[in-house]
Amino acid sequence: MGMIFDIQRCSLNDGPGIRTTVFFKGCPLRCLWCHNPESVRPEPQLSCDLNRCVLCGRCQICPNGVHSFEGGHKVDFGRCLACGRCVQACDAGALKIYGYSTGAEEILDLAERDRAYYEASGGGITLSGGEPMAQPDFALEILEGAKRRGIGTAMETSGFAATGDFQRVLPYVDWFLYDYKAPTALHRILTGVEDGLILRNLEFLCKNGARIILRCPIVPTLNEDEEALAAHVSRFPQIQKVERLPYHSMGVFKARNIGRPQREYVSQN
Amino acid sequence: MLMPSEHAQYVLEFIEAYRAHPDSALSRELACQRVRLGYALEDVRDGEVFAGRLRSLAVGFSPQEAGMMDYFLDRTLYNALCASVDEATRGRLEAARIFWEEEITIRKVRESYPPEVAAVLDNDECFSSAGVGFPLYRVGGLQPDYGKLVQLGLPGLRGLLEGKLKYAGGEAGALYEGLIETLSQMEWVLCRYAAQAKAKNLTGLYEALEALTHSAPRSLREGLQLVHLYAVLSGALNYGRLDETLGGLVGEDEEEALHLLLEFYRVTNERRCTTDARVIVGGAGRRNGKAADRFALLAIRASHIFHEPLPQLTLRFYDGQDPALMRAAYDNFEQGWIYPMLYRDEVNIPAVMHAFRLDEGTAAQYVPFGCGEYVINHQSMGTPSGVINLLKALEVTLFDGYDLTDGRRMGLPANCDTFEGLFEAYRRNVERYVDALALQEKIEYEVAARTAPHLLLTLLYDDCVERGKPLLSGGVRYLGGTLETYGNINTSDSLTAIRKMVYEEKRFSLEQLREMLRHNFTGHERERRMLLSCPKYGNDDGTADEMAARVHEHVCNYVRGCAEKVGLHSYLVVVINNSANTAFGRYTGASADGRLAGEPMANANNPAGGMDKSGITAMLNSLVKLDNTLHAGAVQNMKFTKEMFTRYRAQTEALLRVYFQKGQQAMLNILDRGALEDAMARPELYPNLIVRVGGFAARFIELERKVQEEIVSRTLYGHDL
Repeated sequence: MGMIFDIQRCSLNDGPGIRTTVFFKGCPLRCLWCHNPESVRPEPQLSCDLNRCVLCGRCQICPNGVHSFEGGHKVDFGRCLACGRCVQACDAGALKIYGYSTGAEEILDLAERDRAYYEASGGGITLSGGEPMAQPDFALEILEGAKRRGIGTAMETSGFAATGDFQRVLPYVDWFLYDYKAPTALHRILTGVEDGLILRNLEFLCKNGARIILRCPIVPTLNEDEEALAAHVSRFPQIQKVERLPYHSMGVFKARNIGRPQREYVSQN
Repeated sequence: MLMPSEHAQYVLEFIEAYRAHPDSALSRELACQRVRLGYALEDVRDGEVFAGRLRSLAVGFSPQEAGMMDYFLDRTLYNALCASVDEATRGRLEAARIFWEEEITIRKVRESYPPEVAAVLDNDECFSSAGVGFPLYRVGGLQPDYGKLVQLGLPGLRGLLEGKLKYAGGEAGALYEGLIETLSQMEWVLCRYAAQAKAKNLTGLYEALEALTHSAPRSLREGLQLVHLYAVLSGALNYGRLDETLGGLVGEDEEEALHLLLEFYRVTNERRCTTDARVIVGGAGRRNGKAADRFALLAIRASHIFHEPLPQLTLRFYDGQDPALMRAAYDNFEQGWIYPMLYRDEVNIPAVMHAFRLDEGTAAQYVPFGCGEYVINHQSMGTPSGVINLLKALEVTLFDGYDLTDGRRMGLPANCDTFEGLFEAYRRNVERYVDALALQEKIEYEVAARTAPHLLLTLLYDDCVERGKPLLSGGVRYLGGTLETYGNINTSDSLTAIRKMVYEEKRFSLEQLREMLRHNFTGHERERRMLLSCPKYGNDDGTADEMAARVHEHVCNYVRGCAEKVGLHSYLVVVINNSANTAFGRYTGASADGRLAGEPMANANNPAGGMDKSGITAMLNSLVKLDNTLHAGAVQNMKFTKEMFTRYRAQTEALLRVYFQKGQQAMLNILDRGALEDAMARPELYPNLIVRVGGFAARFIELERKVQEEIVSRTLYGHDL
């Protein structure tokens, strides 16, 4: 079993062809601009969209007093156990729980339904997140299962995981969508972790014949450094393709809704 | 413009011509047509490339003009006419009207209903009152043999008929003489237009019209002119396999051909027959494949350039067809253009073989008309003569036979102790209407047959000339009919929800559900949410899709089985798409799928608006679960962003390729900027609208409002997403 927060069918941007993307919950990085802040914590968590809240107060069914209504709807995320009772009570659709536990076979059965689309387009299943390698056994189980069923695989990863785990999954991954986020000097400041392990894993994968697409979020004022990117790419000639992912502010809203405010990065020019 | 005094004179002459031939439908039709042609033709205009435009007149004869049938009365025009003439004329018009009201064909059809049909079909106010089933009055979906028309031309047809006449006597002989007279009337029209063209110095037009009086078309211009003129005069609103008809006439000069096609599209669009004007290109079974393909390519290009609603260009395709045709179609989509609609032969031909019980060669001549009903090109009739609102049938089932919106009794009482009991009662309510509508279709044809031989159509429908019989009196090879069903998916989603909430989980009783529906969920918002969150068709969900298939198969099979009972070659459901889902929705109460009273119902076989939330592949997988071999056409309306055909073209082609392994048909909407704003205002209509946000694509409606605004602003200013 593993913890995920979404499965998106007919995904067109997470590897070649038409894909089913599985979003793992939990990530060891803390990127300042995180596009999927609801993926960071490894356990289920509450989200409250105040734009949708109609202030009916039904969510006060909560036994832990998470919801209060003095001067507007206040949510004490710290008290929330993600039991979901308030979500059931909310008619406005303002509340939801991110994250649920599921099994590899269930995921694969769902993925199986779009097999014809994968075959026609060169697609398959993509593990994303969050960081799939933060649940390496679960990731491996899905990847192995996909290969057994003849479904193509891809994994989107920050690269921040044990090299031994990469060694284990390597035979079952057709494409690594491997992140590049910042040059070494900035890496810890921007992402919360050093890049040593990430670079070692990239080198390991390159040496061992992995097919790699480099994915580079470009965040205004933070990491718009084409030279550094070029230098990085030149170190790893095995990289088959580089994709720049323009920054978007969707993470800002999602972060606010889960009670972990994030700043928005706006281009200076 | 016709002066009111001339229009009045026409009306009186037309009715007099009708009155003068009480004993012969054939001579009556000829006499009436002669009067009509004298007044109905609009003059050739400056610069015109194709001649042939008819005035709207208060009375006349036309198979399906403006919602009427055969001998018709347009009351609005008639009233306006009476108001604008002198008193003496008005008196004569009023007197004529008293006679004419008794004679119009629609009235004769209704008067012919036996009591059991009249009791069930007690209301003709189809889109302005509540009801389960309604009759429609028309001889519709005409796809005559334009190929024969163009191959033989008027002289060739005349020769053919004169040959037949030599060896025929009696009724057949009279029919051949009538058909020859019809040709003379067409020649008269050509001469009249030719004279007008000459007077206006429209040399090209003059030459084409003049040539058509003495020979078959020798150029694309002449071919298009003859097709157009025949369609206008006969009242046929669809154009069959135009590439096969005209492919051989496309000359060396493709730019000239394109220009002519655009002019042809223009006059077609001006007919304003919004739900018709199908032009079919591509597909198996065309006798001149290569030449037809050239025409088809031009027709696809012209459609994009023309960029108007009509004609409804339709591309049939099959494995091994010249890939240039499909490429041209995708090039249109890439530009955000909606035509051609796509039909895959490998799926449709076997489906038509089974549904219509025909051999492969015949089935290969399937042509969709109008909103998507199939007939066999110039071999079969398939007039949609009835509509049924399945959701209303479920509503009256739940309310013990009574209509929720106006309280009238229109169904049978039900015992709903079990879900199967409920379904059984729903089934009987549907079947009661289908029985009546099937019989109505047959009666309508019989009355039309007694009313007129429909000479222009008889001329070009197999096997009328061979058999020497008028279209509807034993002439047409396959006399079939169709029944339009609406609300199919809301019905199945409602049944899914009722089974789960009432019978399985017992969250509330059927009586409580009735209470919620009666109050349109006011005070029952929570229960409505529960109903909305029950499985819905369009998500590749087994439970919901199986129910959809069950509802679909029931109505399709039952309708199909009625053909033999009433004596038609086929009687088939069509699950088509027009605005009836909205019109019927207006008079349908709240439903157990969570739909509010008066809201539109789902379109054809498509998921209810906003209910397919699992991505395009899931939606497509659901679509192909409904058996397509039981009906005469179902349409799938799909909305895509333009980006799907530009940035993601390869994936989108793959998506549609897979869909078409089992899918019959696709109507694509490729949406542009305005669509995003509309999607913000009415997100429930755009569940699968996929946009590129930054480095990824997302469902537009799932994005935060601010992000939506930001994307809308970007697209408005013309930047890439």
